[in-house]
Amino acid sequence: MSLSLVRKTFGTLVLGFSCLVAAPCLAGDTLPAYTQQSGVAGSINSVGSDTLNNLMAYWSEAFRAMYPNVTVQVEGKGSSTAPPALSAGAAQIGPMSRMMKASEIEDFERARGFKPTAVAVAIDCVAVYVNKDNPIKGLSLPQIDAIFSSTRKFNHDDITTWGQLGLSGEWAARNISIYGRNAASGTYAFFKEVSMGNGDYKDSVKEQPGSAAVVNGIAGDKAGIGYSGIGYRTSEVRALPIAAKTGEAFVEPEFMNAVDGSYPLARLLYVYIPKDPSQPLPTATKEFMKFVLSKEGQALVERDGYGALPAEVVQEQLQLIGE
Amino acid sequence: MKNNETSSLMSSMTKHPHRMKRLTDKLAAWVITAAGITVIAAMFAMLALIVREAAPLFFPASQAVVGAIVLPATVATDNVVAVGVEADLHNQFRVAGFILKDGRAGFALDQPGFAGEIPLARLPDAPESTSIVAVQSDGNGSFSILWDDGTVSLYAMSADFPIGDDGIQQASPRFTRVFSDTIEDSPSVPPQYVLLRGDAARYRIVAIYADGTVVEKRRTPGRGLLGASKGVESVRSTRLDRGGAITAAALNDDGLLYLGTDQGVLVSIDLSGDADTTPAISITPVVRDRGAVTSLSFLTGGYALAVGDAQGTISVWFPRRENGAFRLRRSTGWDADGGGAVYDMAISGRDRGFVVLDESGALRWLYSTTGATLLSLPPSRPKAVAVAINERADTMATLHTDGTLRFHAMDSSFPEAGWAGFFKRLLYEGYETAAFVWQSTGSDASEPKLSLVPLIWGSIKAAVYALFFATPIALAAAVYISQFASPVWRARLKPAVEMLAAVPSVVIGFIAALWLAPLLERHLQFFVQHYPYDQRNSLVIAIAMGFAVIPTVFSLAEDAISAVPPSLSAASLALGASKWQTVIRVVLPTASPGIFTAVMLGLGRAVGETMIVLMAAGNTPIISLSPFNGMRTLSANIAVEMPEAPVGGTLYRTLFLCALILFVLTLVINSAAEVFRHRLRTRYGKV
Repeated sequence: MSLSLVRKTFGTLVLGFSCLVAAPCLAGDTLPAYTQQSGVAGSINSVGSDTLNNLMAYWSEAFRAMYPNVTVQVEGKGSSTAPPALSAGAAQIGPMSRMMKASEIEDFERARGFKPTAVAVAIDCVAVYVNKDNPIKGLSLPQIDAIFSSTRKFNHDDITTWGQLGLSGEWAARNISIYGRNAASGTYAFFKEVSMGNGDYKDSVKEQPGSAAVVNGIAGDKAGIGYSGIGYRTSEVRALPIAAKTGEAFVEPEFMNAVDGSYPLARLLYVYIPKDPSQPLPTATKEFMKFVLSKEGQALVERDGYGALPAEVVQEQLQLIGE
Repeated sequence: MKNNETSSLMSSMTKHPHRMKRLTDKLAAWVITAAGITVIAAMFAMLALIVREAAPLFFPASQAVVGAIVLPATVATDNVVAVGVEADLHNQFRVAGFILKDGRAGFALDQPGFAGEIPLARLPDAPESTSIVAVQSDGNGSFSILWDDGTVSLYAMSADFPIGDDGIQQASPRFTRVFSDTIEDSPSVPPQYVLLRGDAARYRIVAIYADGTVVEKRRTPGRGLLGASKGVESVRSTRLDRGGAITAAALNDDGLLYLGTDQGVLVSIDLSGDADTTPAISITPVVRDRGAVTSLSFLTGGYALAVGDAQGTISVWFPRRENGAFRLRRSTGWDADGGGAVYDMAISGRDRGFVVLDESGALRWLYSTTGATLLSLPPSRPKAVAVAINERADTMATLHTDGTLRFHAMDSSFPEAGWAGFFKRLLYEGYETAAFVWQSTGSDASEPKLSLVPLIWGSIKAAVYALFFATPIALAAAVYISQFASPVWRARLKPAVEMLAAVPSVVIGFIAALWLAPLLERHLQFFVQHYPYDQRNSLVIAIAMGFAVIPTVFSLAEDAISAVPPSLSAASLALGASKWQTVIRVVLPTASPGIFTAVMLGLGRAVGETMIVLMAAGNTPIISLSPFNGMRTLSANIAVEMPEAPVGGTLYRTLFLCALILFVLTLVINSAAEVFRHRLRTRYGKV
């Protein structure tokens, strides 16, 4: 189940990015510009991912500027809050930083009678952050597993101090102070799956209610380490380069590296919509999604620090919403 | 004017003075009684609601036979080589699929009005005019099939339940071929077992021959940009010459192959490495008295392995780290119940549950995490010879010797919860030792860990630490203000301290997390360097929550001390005792019932406090006494996990259980305070 999920994400990425080799199209130059429609009104409630929270705010702000009659409300407490809100009809769109679990799709289908539609909207590199004063060069996935996980599926020796990662001087005896997200987060689930081989977090991971709280925690804690979407990078913290295996070269969390699969913690961010196959989407929701997938919408993705989707992927996503 | 009004009022009152008074009296009594009853009723309603939501966690699992279909006479039971079952999301429709030896398959619908006509057709994309040599299945709708021309195929059974144009819901079941390949370089005899995993782009085929030869064939998509189109195929083989004859086999997605033998050992062959490497082989005895392994299945997640043997014993094994290396170790098991060898298993796709069928036809529904037997069904007549469940494990089909298929509706009723799940040390998958762990969610591949012990520990630890900090300060302040301060200052200071209670706890939490925690860390460098020190720790909580508790303790204690009759302290002072002696020997003992209540109520307040711990304690579910690490309390846990808990699910109900425990904890503390106060009062109250 989870394996096929990774493969799916990876597959879509790989497929989409073949366009990159042919022509550099990162800034969304080749994407169609959004054309304003008339008579768009209504309200859009968005409930879901915290990783996508700022981006949703950017999108809704720009969208409202075009359509003053549309109200957009954004609530971002974690990806796991999206499926129940979509099922209950309390939200028209549900941003998620992971794909829905089989049980969530079932609950949705049981309530609504059809399956939800996942629309990819941006590329993210989940970054491992340390305090800006921390001199460490980079980490390998087995090391990350040994820092964060109690089960250590990659069978690395347990790591609890910075000295065990090769730091010397005042750092050598310092205990690693671990920050993470709460279980409602899609980033929490993604990190658990990819960097810990579905192992368990140590009980000493300090669970924070949001991505910004993780980054703030590390900014104020010299011995801190934690993970969050790349969109939350600040000058107080440093996003570490990561190697997939011990001994391999460290890879920076950059979108080119996400695309060719060399950065191991790359993923797609999604917006789930309840699209009844027998009916068109409500106009406001549809226009919002079209805007998100337009040149302007993808420019906002880059402004927020995430990676814009390549044109081919955008085309696929537009078909999903019935365009 | 004024006189007029007064006189008219006077006259109306004098007219019906008694009626008016009685009416007001009645009305007031009625309103007050109603309000009182409402408060009590609301409390009980709340308690009832919490209990109602939490109680199902402890309900037993259940099953019921909901339908039976007689297979066509042409289909003798021994021609059926595999069975699968599917049901719609509302459990209104059930459909069982079966595969026959000759390569045909059919579906039996458990649906009102189903005539019993079961058309048989060859499996789609099956090789021409071949029959089936061997089938391997975990009993949950996926079938590894070996045909007699050497083709191997993976088939999956699925079903949709669309609503037709006539508005009637229908079942549309099907078998689909996931991928197909051939086994090359095979010895002249067909393999004993074939195991297939994966999809058309990436798969692994393992064929096991009677002489111990294991052949692996796999297809891996290449890495890089154009990888999706170009796949790499590779074949390798290994020869197994120890352990006995192979009697059961299981393969997971990562390429870990387990073989059970007639000598009761489990051979693990790690095929996950590159195709040009030699796979690591290790042998573990798993059956007592060297009885044969008769059935093997990976549980959901592909990490733990269920082993059934010839005596009917079932055990669960998974690799655990020992001295830096992973070794296969037993985690839990179930004794034989006299039904003979384990015959067949069906694995739930959602949790760690699985159904076991033994030789006598008895069925057992087991749960690996807690080691529980969810349900035990005695052998039916005629006896069952095959079992299948759907991915959600809410529907089971059994095939019986007389050619009937029975449908069972199953309700596992929160198997990961229950007494053992909440309060027992459990050995979770991949853990080195049994432990109390709270880690409620993850992907379907990792089991939820719902031990409440770390949370209860956290609540009590936070409250006790807070009281260690708050009690001395609050008491000293109370003594000072009531005994030492001048009446003028007393009138000013008491309300000032009580004003502390008006500071919202979220503000205290905020200050504690972002200002106090880094400050303490800077000034406790000695501990930071020499002990496991966490910035968000119990010291921070003690101080921050202490401040939240001080007004409660102070206010009640001050009242109690002030209530000590001045005659007592006056007498003490007159007899020559110093002020300090008077306070210690006379005032405090006399006020002790009140002081004790103050402390206990402070404890009650601290146990329920949420925002401060939520923000400043790090929410780490650790069981430790150290002041330098954090905690996760019951109340903060409810706040943290509430948004993600699907209504009616295990986590949702577990959070209600947390609320119930919190409720009981506060109730016990407050009642204890009341009881002790009463006792102390009878003891000291006589003076």
